[in-house]
Amino acid sequence: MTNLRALRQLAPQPANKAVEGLAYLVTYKPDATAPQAFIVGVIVQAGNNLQDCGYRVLQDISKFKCIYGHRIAQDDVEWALDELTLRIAHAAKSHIPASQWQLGSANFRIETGRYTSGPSIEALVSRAFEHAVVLAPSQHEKRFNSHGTASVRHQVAERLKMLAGVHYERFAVDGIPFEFNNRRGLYDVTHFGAGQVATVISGWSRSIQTLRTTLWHATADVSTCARAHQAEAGIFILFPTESPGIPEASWERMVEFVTDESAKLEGSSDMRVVAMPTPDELAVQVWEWYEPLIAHG
Amino acid sequence: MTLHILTEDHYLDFLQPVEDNQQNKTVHAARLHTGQPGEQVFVCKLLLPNAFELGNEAIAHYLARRASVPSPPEAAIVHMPARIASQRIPLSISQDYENAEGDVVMWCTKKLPYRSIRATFRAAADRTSATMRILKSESGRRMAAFDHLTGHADRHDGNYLWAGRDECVAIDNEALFGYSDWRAAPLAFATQNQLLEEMRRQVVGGSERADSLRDLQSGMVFYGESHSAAVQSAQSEISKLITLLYGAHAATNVLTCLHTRSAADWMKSELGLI
Repeated sequence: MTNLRALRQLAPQPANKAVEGLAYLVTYKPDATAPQAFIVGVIVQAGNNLQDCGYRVLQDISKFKCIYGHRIAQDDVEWALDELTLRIAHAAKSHIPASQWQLGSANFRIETGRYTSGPSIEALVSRAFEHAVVLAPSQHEKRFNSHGTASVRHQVAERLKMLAGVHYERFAVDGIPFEFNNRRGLYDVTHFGAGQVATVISGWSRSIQTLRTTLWHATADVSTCARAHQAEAGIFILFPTESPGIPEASWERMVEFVTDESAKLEGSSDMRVVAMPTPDELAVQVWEWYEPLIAHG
Repeated sequence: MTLHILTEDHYLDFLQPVEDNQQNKTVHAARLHTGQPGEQVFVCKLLLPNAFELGNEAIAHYLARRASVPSPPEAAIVHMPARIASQRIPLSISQDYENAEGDVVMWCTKKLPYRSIRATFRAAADRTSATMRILKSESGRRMAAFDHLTGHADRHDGNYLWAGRDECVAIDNEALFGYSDWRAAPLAFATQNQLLEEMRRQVVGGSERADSLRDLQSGMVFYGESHSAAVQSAQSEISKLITLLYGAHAATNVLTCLHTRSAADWMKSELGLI
């Protein structure tokens, strides 16, 4: 005879099961004529009269874009999920088991309810959603914070206008024209005046390849422009002080690359290279470089 | 090798059936409250309540990691009244799983990290060549040595999972000690190591070279040298649980057998290498 009941004396503290009920998964077929279906929501019902009902529907549809590309309109997906949310919200007040709800669409289906338990309806909804709705952005996923060069230049310009006041227009440029062998173009630089030419770029990149390309293009333009106009060159890079949501190893390689390139440029060509983590700090550095020559020159 | 002892108070969510053409139709994924942080999803199966399979699973769990055999890091025994189980687990549960007191018992192993699609593959497509590949790997040889130590009599290709290229994880250890009942009498059984037997068959049939068999046996002897320490390390936990479930004499029977089979040169002698 096996003494199974004796096991119970070894059991630890019970879990908080203030709420016991059923969790339902809601599946969505963006194309009702194709087999692909995705879990996009969860409903949890509890209580004798199903008076406790919680639900959550996927809001961020970006992963549908990854899967379908242009094969379905993103607006349609967004609209369908909004409509689903409204219908669930309405049905939740009915105190009818979710398995009997009519969603009125062949694109949506409520799966069979499964036992769930925990401290609160909200906790159960959240747990079920995180487990089942894999198209939702992961809460654990550190998202990459993007700062494009155009946006950084705009922010630096706004701050510089305040710092330089009336002098701003004397050195802020939107490229410098060049002509070579009957070809016309622009050196991609942002500041030019008093014998100095500078460019502001963003070093917030997902990969070292992007960072390399950005820095080498900037170096080529600013140094060629400086030679053509017999000016001193400067590169002002927005560069974070900690990883902007990329793997640590990639981040370390990027820091090493920027450090090495800065040393090379400053050592071999007297170029001024400044890396700062915010557009404000970058603007201060640009102004400190120009101020003695522009404001007091 | 944590083994949690839990009840219906710790069974949080039924997640879904795990369908794999297995004989046991109660296999399912569930979330359990173990008191540990992080995701606590386990693969659970009901076991016959009056048999010794539960004890075998627990013994193997306590021993496997100590013998460096790849196996699930955490496991749980969940005991609950059958009427509650039938409300929470929407699978057809035969009455055979219910004991006279109206209870059921589940053996649960923590879900393995999903490192590759193979993490869920059983070696079914090309059974023999898959088994041979496993037996030429370190983890396969460790598993073969472990099966010899414990007298595992049912290590077919459904009772280990692939966890990567040439890497396996031992699961389903219900058939230890030659499937002999160790609760009442001391153990005496003939070892039937299915992995070793399969290699022998392939060598005899000419599909494998004799070197492969020798390498496997050498590996088993080598890994068998750590078994004594593994048994020593696990014996107090095994003794405690088996005594609680089946009585002190059952624990003595099991540990006597394990000490004998983990002694120095036992494996060598068993494999005919001395």
